[in-house]
Amino acid sequence: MRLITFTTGGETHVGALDGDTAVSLTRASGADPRFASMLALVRAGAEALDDARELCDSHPAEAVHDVQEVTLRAPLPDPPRLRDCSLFIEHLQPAFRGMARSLAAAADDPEAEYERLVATGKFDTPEVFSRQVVYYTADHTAISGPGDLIVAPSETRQLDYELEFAAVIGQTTKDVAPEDASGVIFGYTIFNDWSCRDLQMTVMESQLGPSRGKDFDGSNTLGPCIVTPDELGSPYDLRMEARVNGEVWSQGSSSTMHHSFEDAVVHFSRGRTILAGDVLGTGTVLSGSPVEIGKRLKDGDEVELEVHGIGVLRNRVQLPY
Amino acid sequence: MITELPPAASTHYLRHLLAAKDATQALQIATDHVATVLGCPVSWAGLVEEEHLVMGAHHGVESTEMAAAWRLKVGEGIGGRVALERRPQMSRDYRHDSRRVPLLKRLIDNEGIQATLIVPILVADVTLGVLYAAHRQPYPWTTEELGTLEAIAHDLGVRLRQLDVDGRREARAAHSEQRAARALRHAQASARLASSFAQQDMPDAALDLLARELGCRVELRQEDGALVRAAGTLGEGNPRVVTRLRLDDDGLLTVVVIHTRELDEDGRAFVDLCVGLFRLQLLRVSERERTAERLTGELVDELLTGRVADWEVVRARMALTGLSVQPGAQILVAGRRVDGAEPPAVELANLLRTVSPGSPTVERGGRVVCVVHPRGRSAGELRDRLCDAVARSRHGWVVGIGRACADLVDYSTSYDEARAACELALRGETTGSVVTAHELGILGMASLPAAHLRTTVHDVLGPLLDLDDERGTTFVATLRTFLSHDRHLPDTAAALHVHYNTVRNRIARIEAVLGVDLRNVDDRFRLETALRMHELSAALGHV
Repeated sequence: MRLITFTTGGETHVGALDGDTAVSLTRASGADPRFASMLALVRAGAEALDDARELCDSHPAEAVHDVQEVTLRAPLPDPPRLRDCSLFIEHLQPAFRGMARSLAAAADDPEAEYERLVATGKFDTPEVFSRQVVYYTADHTAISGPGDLIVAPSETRQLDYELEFAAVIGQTTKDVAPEDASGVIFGYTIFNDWSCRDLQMTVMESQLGPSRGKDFDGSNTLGPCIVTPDELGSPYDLRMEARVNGEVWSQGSSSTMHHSFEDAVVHFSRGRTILAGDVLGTGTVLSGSPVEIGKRLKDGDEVELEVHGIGVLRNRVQLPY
Repeated sequence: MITELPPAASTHYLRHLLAAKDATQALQIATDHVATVLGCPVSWAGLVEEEHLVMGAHHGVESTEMAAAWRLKVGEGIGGRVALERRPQMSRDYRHDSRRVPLLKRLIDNEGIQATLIVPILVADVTLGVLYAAHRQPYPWTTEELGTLEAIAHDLGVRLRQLDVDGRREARAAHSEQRAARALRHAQASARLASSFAQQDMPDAALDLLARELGCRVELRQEDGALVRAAGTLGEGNPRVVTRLRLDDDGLLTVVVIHTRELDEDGRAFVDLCVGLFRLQLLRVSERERTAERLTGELVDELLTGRVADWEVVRARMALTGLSVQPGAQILVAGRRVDGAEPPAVELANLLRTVSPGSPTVERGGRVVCVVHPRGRSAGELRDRLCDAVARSRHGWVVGIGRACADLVDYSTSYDEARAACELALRGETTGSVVTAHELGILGMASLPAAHLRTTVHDVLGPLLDLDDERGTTFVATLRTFLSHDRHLPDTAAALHVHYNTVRNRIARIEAVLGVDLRNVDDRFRLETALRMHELSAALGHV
C-alpha cells in the first residue's frame, strides 16, 4: 500500500493511493479512530493495516478523490522522533571537502587555504561512521510535506537539499534481535534534509552537531507517501535522483548503503525503546547534495527528489539571497 | 453435426446481421443461425460488460432462470476462460468437467445441457463476448463445427463493432467532443488574453491577466532567481512548475508558471500559448518603453541624477526593460576629440556592442552615456577591452569609467566620476583614451557640489591663482608638474622646458605665497587634493 495524508475541503484524511485516486481511510472506515491520523494507524499495528487493505478494496464512493483534487501533506506530520543516520557514508567525505572549499573561498588564496583546512584533518570522515550507525536527532516538529514552500532562514546564504529516504518504525519495542528487525519497519518514505551549509559549517566547530544549520521551520520534508514493505520489496536496490528545475543534479542508489535499516533498528533498540512512528533517515546518498557537486540553489528553484518505488517529493525554495 | 444447408444460408445470415438494428438483434440472429447450421438445440451469446459476461441472446433455452441469471466473471469457468484467453474451448460431457463454476453448474444442469462448444467473439485483440453451441447429451464436437462457429462469431463481431456494442465509438466521440469544447474554451481564452494585452501597456497588469486566464500562480524572476513580481494564487493541490520560459535571449528574465494540476497535452499547449502571448506583450511593452527611454532618457536620467522617489519602482522598471540590476554595473561616459559625420551615440553603441552586448546607451550633455554590466569580467578586463575597441575605432573616442555600483543608488556617483574622467581626458590632462576615476584620483570628488569644489580650491590655492590671473605667471602649472614628478627638480624643469633654477625659484615663491612647506606630507596632500579639484572644476565647467 501507498499510504498518504491529505487535505480536502479543510479536512485532513489518512488514505491510500490507488492509481490516480486517493481513498480516504478516515472516511471509508466511518471515522474509526485508528484511521484518524497516520500516527494512529502506525500505532494500531498490523491488524489495522489489514483493515486498511480491505477498505481499499471495498469502500463507499464518497471516500474516493481524484489525487489531483486534493493536497498531499507530509504522510507522517508528527513523528514522535526523527533520527537522521549516516547509513550512506560515501557522501560524507565529498560533503566535508565541499564545505572546506566554501570556507576557503573567502581567503586571499583559496587554494592554499583549502589545502590548509584539509591538512587539519577536520574535513575527513572519522572511522566511527563505518563502525556504527551515527546519527543526530533532528527536530521532529519541523516537518514539511510535498509541495510546501521551503523558506530558508534569513541569515543563510547557502541552502542545500539532501537526497535521502527514511524508514518509519511500526512498533514500540526494545532489544530487537537482528532477525526480527525488518518486521518492525512500517514503511518507507522520501526524506529531504534541508541544510544551511554556511550556518552548519560555523556551528560544526562546536562538535555538537549541525544545530541551526539543519534546524528551521519545515527543514525536514517527508513524502509523498509511505510505501509498505510488501509493496516496495527490497529497499536496498532503489534508484535515487534529485532534479532542480527539471535538470538532474544528483543520482545514486540505495544499493550503496553501508549500514542497513535493520542495523539501525538493532542499534537504537539495544536497551532503549524505539517508538511506533519513529523516523530513521538514511543520510545522504553520494553526490546527493549541491555542496558535493559545486552547485548552488537559486531563489524560486524547484527541487524534486525521486526514489523509484516510492515517488517524487517536490518542493520550491524561497531564499533570502 | 453440420446440417446441410443451401449456400444461400450464409448470405441470408449476413443479410440479417446487416439488418440488425442493435446488438441484441444481431446476437439473436447469430444464436438462431448457430442452432440451424450446427443442428444443436441450444445456443447463447454472452457479452463482456466490464469484468463480467452477461447474457446477450439465446436460442432454445427452456428455463427462465438460465436466461435471467446466467452471468460469468471473465476468467472464471469455461466461458470466462474463452473470453480471457481469446481461444475456443469445448466440453464433450459437461457432467465430468472440473472447470465449471458452481452457480452456473446448477443452471446448466437444470437446462439439461451436457456438451458445449464456445468461441470468443473478437474484433482484433478485443473480446466482445463469447458464443455458445450446446447439446443436451454428450457430444463429440468436430474441427469442422468449431470452424463454422468461429466464422459465425467473426461475422457477428464485425457487426457488433459496427453497432458500437461496447460503446467505444461513443466514448471516442464523447472524448473528441470534450477536447473540441476545451479547445474552443482555450481559443476563446487566448483571444480574450490577447485582446486584454492590446488594451494596456503595464507589464504588471499583463502578469495579472496571465495568472487569471491560467488560473494559477505566475512569477517573473531574474537570472539569479530573485523574484521581480508574482501574480495569482494556488488552490487546493500540490504545486508544481509546469512551465519555465526565458523571456529574452540573455536570460535576464524568466516567467515561471506554477499549477496544482498535472497538465495533459491540451492543457500544456494552452499554457504555452498564453505564456507566448505574454512574452510578446512584454517584448512589445519593453520595446515601446525602451524607445520612449531612448527619446526622453527618463529612466536613465533618474538613475544618473539620483533623483529617484522610489528605488523599488526603478528596479522593477529596469528589470522589465531588460536592464540588469545586478551589482557591479559601471557607468561609462564617452566623448570625441574630433567631430565626425556619424552620430556619436550610434557609433559608440556599435563600438560598445563588441565590448558589452546589450548595454543601453543614451546621449546626455553632449556626451554618450552607457551602463555596462561586467558579467563576470573584472574591471581591468573591461578597461582593456574598451582600450582595444577605442584604438580600433580610430575616431578619437575618449571614455571615462566610473566606480562599480554596489546598488542602484551608486549610479549617480559612478556617472559623475565617469563624466569627470571623460572631461579631464578630453582636456588632454590625462594620458590614454580610456581612464577611470580611480586612476585620476577623483573617486568621491566628482559628485561634490560645484560651490564646495570652488571654495576648497580657493582656500588652498587662492593666492597662487590670483597671481597667475593678475600677472600671467604659471605657478599653478609649475606646482602641479613639480608634485606629479615627485618634487624632482630636473624632471620638472624638463617637463616645463625651463631652467632648473627657474623651477627652484618658483617653488620657493609658491611656498612663500601659500605659506606651505612642500617637504611636509600634509601640505602636499592638501595641495594635491586642491589641484585635482581645480582640474575637476575646470573640466566640468565650474570655473
